[in-house]
Amino acid sequence: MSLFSGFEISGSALTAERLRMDTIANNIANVNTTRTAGGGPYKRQMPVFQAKPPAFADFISQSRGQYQGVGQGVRVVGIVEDPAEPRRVFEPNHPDAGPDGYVRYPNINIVAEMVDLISATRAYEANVTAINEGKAMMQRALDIGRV
Amino acid sequence: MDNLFFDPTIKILHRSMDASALSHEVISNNIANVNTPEFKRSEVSFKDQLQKALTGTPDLQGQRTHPSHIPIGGSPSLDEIKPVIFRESETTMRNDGNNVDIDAEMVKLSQNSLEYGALSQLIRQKITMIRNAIIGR
Repeated sequence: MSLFSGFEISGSALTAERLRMDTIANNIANVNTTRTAGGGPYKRQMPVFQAKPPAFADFISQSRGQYQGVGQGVRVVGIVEDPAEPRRVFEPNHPDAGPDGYVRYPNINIVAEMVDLISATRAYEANVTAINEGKAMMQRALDIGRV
Repeated sequence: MDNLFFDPTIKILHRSMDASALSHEVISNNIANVNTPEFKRSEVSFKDQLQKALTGTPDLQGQRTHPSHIPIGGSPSLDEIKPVIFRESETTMRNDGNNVDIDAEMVKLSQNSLEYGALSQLIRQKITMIRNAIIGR
């Protein structure tokens, strides 16, 4: 329980938000991809965030009823595909058109992706600010005994 | 000699700094989980307990006739208080169950950082006073 674990908490959030930004970038890059290695159009990917529980040592204190431990940040437990139906566009001359003449395009809404990207960027900046404040606090503490 | 180094001022400042460092950790965790669904924010409570320990306003205090009687009520001493982490599980900020208000958290972060700086400054001044008394300036 010190300021150093504050850095790890914020660091975990930086990693998670960066992964989210990469996922969004991948979605935007593949907005018109009709063919993937696994067959079918590209499916939108979403990261799943989970809050990391407090460290084990805190559970001992918690069981004694003293206090509830501090969570250890956030982690990405996986990247799932959006199960929504793909967009269907009538293009009979497209090489990937089905027998009914419809091509299936990915179910990605650019505007929604942009909003998610902004949200991820702001969260990243907020965590960087938290790290800077932690650093400032440690420097003030190191100044205590200085002549 | 004990009063030189272990007087209540240093003890109070030390414990307040501990609470402030824990508060920084808790606020960092809240900010880290701003986009996590179903996450509920936590916060640290210490000032009330410090107030009770300092002003010593007892509620109803049980009478103890033997040292091993369990204390009932009364105010804790400075050595017994510690910061407590509360989870605010009743409110919701967004549709996914997350209740972290990023603006409020950033404000709390700055306030806490300034408080920590002020406390460290107070400890420095206290040590400077002791040093001046020793040197005799």
